[in-house]
This record gives sequence, structure tokens and C-alpha cells, in this order.
Amino acid sequence: MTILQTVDLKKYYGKKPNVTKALDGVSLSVEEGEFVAVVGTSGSGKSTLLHMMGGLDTPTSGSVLVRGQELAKKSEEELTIFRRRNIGFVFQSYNLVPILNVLENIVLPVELDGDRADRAFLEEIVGMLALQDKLNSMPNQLSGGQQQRVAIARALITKPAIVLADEPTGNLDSRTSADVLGLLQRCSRELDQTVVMITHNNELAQLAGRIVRIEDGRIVA
Amino acid sequence: MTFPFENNTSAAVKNLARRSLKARKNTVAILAILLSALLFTGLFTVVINLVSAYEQNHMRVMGGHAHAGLKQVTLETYEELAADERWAGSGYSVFIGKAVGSAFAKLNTEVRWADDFYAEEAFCRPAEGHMPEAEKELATSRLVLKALGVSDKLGTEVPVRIETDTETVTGTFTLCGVWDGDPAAGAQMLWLSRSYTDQIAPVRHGSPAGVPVGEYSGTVYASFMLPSSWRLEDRAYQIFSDHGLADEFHFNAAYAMSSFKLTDALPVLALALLVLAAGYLLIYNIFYISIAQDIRFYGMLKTLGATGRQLRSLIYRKALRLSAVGIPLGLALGWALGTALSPAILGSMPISEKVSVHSAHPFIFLFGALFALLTVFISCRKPAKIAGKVSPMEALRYNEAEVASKKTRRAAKPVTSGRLARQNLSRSKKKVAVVVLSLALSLVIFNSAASLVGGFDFETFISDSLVNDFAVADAGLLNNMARNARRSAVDAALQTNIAALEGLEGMGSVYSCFADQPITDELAAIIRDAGQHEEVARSLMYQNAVGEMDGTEATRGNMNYAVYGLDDYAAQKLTVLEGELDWDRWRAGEGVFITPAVLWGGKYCLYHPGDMMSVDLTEMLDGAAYNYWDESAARTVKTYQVLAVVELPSAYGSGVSMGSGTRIILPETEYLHYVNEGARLPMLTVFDVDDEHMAQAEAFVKNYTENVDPSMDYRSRLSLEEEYRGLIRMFTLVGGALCALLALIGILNFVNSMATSVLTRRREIAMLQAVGMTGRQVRHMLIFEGLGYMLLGLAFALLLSSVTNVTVLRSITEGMWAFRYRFTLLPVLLSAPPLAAVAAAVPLICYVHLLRGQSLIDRLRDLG
Repeated sequence: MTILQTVDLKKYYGKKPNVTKALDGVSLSVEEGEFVAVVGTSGSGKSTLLHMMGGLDTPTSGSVLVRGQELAKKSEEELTIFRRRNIGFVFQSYNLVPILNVLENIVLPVELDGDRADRAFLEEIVGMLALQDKLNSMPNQLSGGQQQRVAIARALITKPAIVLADEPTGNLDSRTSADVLGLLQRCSRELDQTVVMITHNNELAQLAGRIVRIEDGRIVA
Repeated sequence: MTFPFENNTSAAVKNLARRSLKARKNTVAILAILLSALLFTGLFTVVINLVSAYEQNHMRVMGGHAHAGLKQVTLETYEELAADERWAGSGYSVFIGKAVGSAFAKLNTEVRWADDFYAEEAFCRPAEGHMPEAEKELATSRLVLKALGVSDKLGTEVPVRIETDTETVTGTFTLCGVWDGDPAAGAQMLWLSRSYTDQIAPVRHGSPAGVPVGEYSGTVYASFMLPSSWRLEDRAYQIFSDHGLADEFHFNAAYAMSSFKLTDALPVLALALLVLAAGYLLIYNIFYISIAQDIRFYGMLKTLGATGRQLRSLIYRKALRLSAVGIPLGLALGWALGTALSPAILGSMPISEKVSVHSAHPFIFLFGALFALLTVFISCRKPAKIAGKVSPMEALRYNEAEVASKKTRRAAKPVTSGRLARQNLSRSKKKVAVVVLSLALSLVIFNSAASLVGGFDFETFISDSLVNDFAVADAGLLNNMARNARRSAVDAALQTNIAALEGLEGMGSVYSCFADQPITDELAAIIRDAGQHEEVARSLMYQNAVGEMDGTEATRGNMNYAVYGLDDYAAQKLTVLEGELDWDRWRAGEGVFITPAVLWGGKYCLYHPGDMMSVDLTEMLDGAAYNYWDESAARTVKTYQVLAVVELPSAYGSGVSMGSGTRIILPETEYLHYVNEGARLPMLTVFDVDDEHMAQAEAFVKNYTENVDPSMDYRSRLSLEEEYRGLIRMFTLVGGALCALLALIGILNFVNSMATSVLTRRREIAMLQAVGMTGRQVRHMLIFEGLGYMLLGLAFALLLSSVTNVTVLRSITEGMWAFRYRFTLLPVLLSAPPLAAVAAAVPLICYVHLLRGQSLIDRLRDLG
């Protein structure tokens, strides 16, 4: 089943004749449970693509469908609620809330929805990401790898349609990078979780089930 | 708890609000909220104290706290009105007569029977014992007993002589109840039993018109209370007129204050708005800066799925938590400040010293808290909106810069600290505007308060109440109770004593009485002529006079002139408005000086120099109200020529004006020739003493009025100077406190802006240093920024002060006596140096605290 689809997605900046085409007609489908890596050089438009898929940014033309719903048709408020229920983010700079401890950070998206985290599921994820001993720590007491594992747990907790990871290992050394990515891959497999990851590192991209290359705002392979 | 501004508040929002407050120091925000609450509470405390002091004072003078009253009516009239269901309560007394005898010469004492309700509202209910029940029982105040020289023990036999309309009765009564009594009251009360009353002054029966004018004994005086004091006068009047008693309506003027008119509330409202504005500028800026700093945090929350509504409620929750700490503290401190300032303010008002107020009315705290909360919420609205609207994408890039300059730079200019500072300021214009406004606000208030105090003029201040070194008169005349004051008061003993004072330069007498005039055809023509002048026709007193004009000489009403007698020394203080002071003809009794009709618009004159004026002196001669309808009664009319229109110093006024407000000024001999036996003493004796003996003379009158004859009082240059200094102190104190608090708000705003701006630019400043800017240059840049704020603030304050000076301030000083308007900006200019010092010091302190000590690399890495 197709869980995410972009149709002829375009994002232009500026006015003629100085138009920058960040995205220039990207059509891409992601099936449920897939682990897709989007690879491209700096400035290729891969980050813009990810922001579009997550509903963080609006396209100049074209559409993004998540679980068959078109993001561009939603109001800002609806989009926020849709996002917290359907999309999990993992950022390069972790973006943990510094004033909340690890457990609170993980369950934050569920609680923002006025809900309580499923206890068993929470324990499963925490176990998978080896965070059992760190639940009461504050983010600034953790290493980079640990922080990113918390961010991954936070992205998974809502059982989203799709996890979008933006250079999740960009701030980590190569060994930790491999560890973190291994975990992400394992989660994807065991939870049947769809993941789209952006990276400029070809080697890491090999861990994904499918690789999409993007260059100058277009998919090249 | 879910607040009205929330609906789906989740535990997460509450937790986030709590934690994010813990994560930061909130001293400045709490202080800001505290200051707002403090200002509001202080303001309300002073206002409530003032209002209740006025009320108390009025009630004491009026002799009761009932809302409305009936005077001199029959029992049936009272009973019909009292039966109306709209009253919350009513009671009545039956007037018997006056207590007479030497003991009561200076203590006006009325003898009555009263029910409990009436006694209670007249503040004359026995504190010890009970109201008279048995026939020969009596209850009265300790003041009366002291005057009679008998003990205040219950059971004491009290001899009293009572003068009713028709006879004088002497009796001995058994004391059954006492209370302290109030020397400020218009009359003391002496209650007798109902059965005794029925013997000597049986209660009157019949229709409202059943009591002839001038008869008192046996008439009913009643008090009425309404359930609430809202729109008191109108409601009470309505009930009276529903029963056809509109003419009998008496309203307790003490409540005029509490039935607040909009005009009374305006200055309070203006001050409240000012506080609101100052509080708003500060709290808004603090929240705005805090949100601008944390914008990435809010953006991140948005990315994670926090809705705009949740973010807004997060901000409001934070504000509420801060208020929970700041407001109670502000309420307590504000109340303390208001209570501390109140005596100083009350002391400068014409209020009896016996009135003491330290209100802790719940309204003070309720409104204080409400207004402070209102300020907080208004201040948070915009910042909350900014936080709620943050887009996740922006948040990832956000740095406080708002205006992306579209101007292209023409040529590269050399980079200096000053230019960098200027550009930094223009980076967030809104923040600068708020700080500048906040600073300017306190400066404008300071300028206004200072120029008010400076414009307060001693000579003008005393000219209204004193034109000689000393004036002695009945205590009532000099203490705002002119209606009850004796106008024939300065006895021979006192006059002899004054004449014997060492260093006396001169001494004069002012006499005053009234002469009721029948409206003759001659006077009627003059009244009609006056109506052609618009300002006369508009005045209420003129319309009254016109109401008396129907019919012929025999059926018309009357109009009153005040007649003054001045000896030569006092007459020196007259100023001519029209004509010439022909002293010889005046002294010979051929002519008079008159004043303009002050109650008819103020400037119009009924007569002009050369006119002949007939004055009916009958009332003055008889000392009793003149009966116009009795045509057989002999009338004494003398015709004078008007010699000049003059102005009588208000210090010589009797405090009571009637009719058109025209005063006829006679020479002493002429006055004494016509005035009745009972009114031959001067109302006012004035005298001047050389500087050397001033203190000695002061000591004499002080001792005389306190110990020898306490019914007299005096005014002197020395005592008024004291009062003047008291007023100045009050203005300085209150204005100073307000300015200090507003200045604190302004400076707090500045400190907050400066500190956060340095904090948010740590990395940027580190970068500048990394490329070669020295610490000295950084410091200069920051100091220039601080000075920039101050310069803008000062410029703005100068502009605003100029505007308020020529508008608001001018109209205030024109409306207030004893203030002289002058344009000044000196206070603003004088505050420039200390402000500049603050402007330079704050950035330096920020630099030392926030930037030094950390290595460049640490700061560059900061915020990753």
C-alpha cells in the first residue's frame, strides 16, 4: 500500500529571472514498511523535499499525499494535528526539549494530543533503543548518540504513518552513526515502520531498502 | 484546572509551562507584575480612603448617615412616606425645642424624642444605658453633660431648661443613656421620653401643609435609608415625588461622593490607564523578548505537534504562574504604600482631624488583582500570538531580526562602534519603541508633577484665605462649616486683647449679615434686564430668582443681599472694578460699594456707579426673617447711591452667598446703626503685626482660641505657610512615589532589553571579536546602544512633555486655584545626566557579567 506520495512537486524561490528551483517536479511513492534513503549533495533539494513531505513547508505547485490525504488542503492548525499523529521527525540536531527529561521528551507528542502513551509499546521502543537507564536524565546529560536515540523513540511513539529523518547522523562520529542507523533500521523492520531518511553519505544509504538520488531538484535514479 | 482560554489543555502543556519557568530566572517578569499590582492597589487604596474620609466627614457635619430626610412635617406625612416598600428602613424624631441657658451658649443642643432608628443614624444612640422610656428620663452626649457640669453616671439628676416655640420649660430628668458626642456635629442631641414630649410639644397631625412656616415644636423629622447607595439621589427623589412630597425632599449630601459621577472618576480612571500603560509596556516587552529568545523552542514544539492554541495557552499559563507570585506581593506592598501615603493626602484636604481611615476594603484587592491580571493578559496577547503563529520552518532560522533591510548600501562606510550600535538598534525597532515609550512615559509624568509643584504659588494660595497677617473668627467660619458659624463672633474681650498686642500695625473689623429684599417693581425690572446676558440667563441661581417673579409686588418672592460692614482698615483691601472709591460719601452713609453678582455667572453687576439703589433693611434691623405677606408690617428702606463696584477679598467673605451673590458694603458706623442688638460683633477681626512680634502674636491667638475661647479660631501667615508646606510635601511625596515607580519600570525595561540583547548576541559578538574587534570596541558599541535608547527616550519625552505642557497641564492649572501655569522642560533636561549614567552603566555590567570569563571558542560553539 502506498503510504506517501508526491505528485510533480515544485518549490521555486525568488522571482524571474533569478528563480531558484529547489524542487522541480518530484514524483515519488513510498510503500508501507519501506525504508527509503534520499541521497543528494548539499543544495540538491533533498532537505526541501523532506520539509514538504512533513508538511513543514508549502510547495509552489504539485501535491503531497500522506495516507491518501493531501497536506496542502489543510489549515495550519489541522496540519499541525495531522503531523503529530502521522509523522515522526528525527533531526540532525536532535531538537530535544531541554527542560524535559528523556521519558517526558519521548511521550511529548502523545501528550500534546491529549492522550497517554501505550505503556507496553513505550517499553518496547525504550528497550529496542537501549534507553532504559536514561529515562530520568536530562538531554544535556546525554551523549550525541544517546540524544538521537531519544529523538528516534519520540518519532516512533505515535506509531506514525511515516518517520522522516533529516541527516540523523550528521552530528555523530562514524561509529555512533552506524549504531544509530542500525537501530533505526531494526525499528523499521520490527515495527513495520515506514522511514524516509535524508543523507549525503552513500555508505550509510546502503542500509536502506531503496535509494532515491536527487540532483538539482529532480530525481535522477 | 482548565482556564477559559483553553479547551484541550493536556498535562503536557501544564508540565511545559511549569518546567520552562523553572528553567529560567523570572525575577524581572515577577517584578514587573508586582509593580503593576502595586501601583493599582496603591491607587485604589488612596482613592477608597479619600472617598470614605469625605463621606465620614460630611456625615459628621450633616449629623447623620441616613440617605434622605424629611423636616418639619406632620406625623401622617411621615407615615405615608415611610409605608413605601422601596425604603430599607426609616425612623423619626419629634422636635421639642432648644436647650437654653449659659451652658448652651456655644453648644447648639436640640431637645427631641426619637425612635431607635433615628437615633442610630444620627450617631446619637446611647453607648451606655438606653433611650428614654419612663416619663422623666433623658439621654444625651457627654459633651452636653460636660457643658452642664454634671456627671455622666447613669441615674444622675440633670436639670434642663427647654425653649419650645411657645414657652420655656424647666425640668429635672434622670440620666438613662449617654454617648460621647461629636464636636463637629451641627447640633448636639438631648433625647426625652415620648410621654413627656406629648405633654410639652404634642406631635403635629394633618396634611403636609399642616405645619406653618417658623413653627418647630411637635413637628416630625425623619430619616430614610435605601437598600443600596447606587443612584441614591434619583431613587430617593422618585419616592418622594411619587407621594407628592418632592418639595420636602432632603438628600444627605455626604453621599454625593459615593454616587460617583463620571467626572469624579475621570482622574482615577486616567491614573489607572497610565498605570496600565506603564505596566503594559514593561510586561509586554519582557514577554516579547522572552518569546523571541525562545522562538526556536516554540518552533520545535510546533514541529512535534503542538498546536497554535496549545502554544498560546502555554504562554498564558506561564503568565498566570508568574502572576500568582507577583500579584499577591504587589497587593500587599501596594496596600502598605497606599495606607502610608493616605494620611499625607488627607492631611491636605479640608477634613476634620477626627476622621481616620485605613480601609482594607475587599474592593481594593479585588480591583487591584483584576487590573493587574488584565494588564498581564493584555500584555501577553501579542507575544502569545507570535508564539502560536511560529512556523516550524522559521523557527529553525529565527533570530530576533525583524526587518530585513531592502535598502542597498551605496558605498561601504568605515565600520565604527557607533555605526554598529545604530544598526543593532534598528534591528528590532519594536523593542526599541517599547523601551523608549516606557522611559518617556515616566519622564513626562515627572515633568508634569514637578511643574505642578513648582507652579504652586504661596501668595495666590493664601490670598484666598488671608490678606492680613492674622484673622480671628468663629471656628466654623474658618473650618468649612460657614453655614453653622456665628457671624457676630469677635467679642469685646478679644478685641481689647488684640488692640493691646505688642508690635500691632493695624487692626480692622468685618461685619456681615443678610438683608432679605422683597422683589419690588424696581428690582424686578433689574432682574429682567440681567436675563438678556447669556451667562446670567444660564446660571441656576438666576433661574431661581426668575421663579420668584410672578405676579405683583405683594405676591412675589424675595431675594437676598449679603450686607457687609467694613471699618477703614479693612476697607483698604477693597479693589475697584468700576467707578471710584469716594471715601467721604461712603463714610457719611450716602453711598455704598457693591460687588458683582457672583452667583449669576460672576461678572454681571445689578447696579453701576451713579445708580440709585433702595435697600430693605428690615431683616437686618429685626434680626428675624421678614414676613413679606404682612402688608401692615413696618418696613425700613433706605436708598443709597452706588459709588463703585468693588471686589471684596474672599478672605473677608462670610462663606455663604444667596440671591444674586451681590454684596452691599457699608461703612462700620452705618452698619452698626442699622444692625440689630444680637449681631453687633464683628464676624472677622483682622490685624497686622510687625515681623519681630509675629511669633508672639501667633502664640497669643493660638492660646486664646485653644484655651480661653475654643469656639473661636484663627488664620495666620505662619500657620498657612505651614499648611502650604504640607501641601507641597504631599504633592512631592505622591508625585515622587509615582515617578519613582514609573522610572523603575522604565529602567527595568531598559535593563531587560539590554541584557537580553547582549545575551542573544553572544555568538555574534564572539564572532566580531574573533575577526579583530577589541573588548574595548565591544564595550563602546554596547554603551552607544544604551545611550541610543536614552537619547531616543529623552527626545520623545521632550516632545510629549511639550505637548502635555500646553494641553493637559495648562487646563489643570487653569482649573485649580493657587497654581500658576508656566511652560517648563527643565525636569526632563535635569534627568538627562543620571539617565545617561544608567545608560552607560547597564551595558557595561551586562558585558562584564555575560561576556567575560568565557573563552571565545566556548562562546562561538555556544548554541551549536
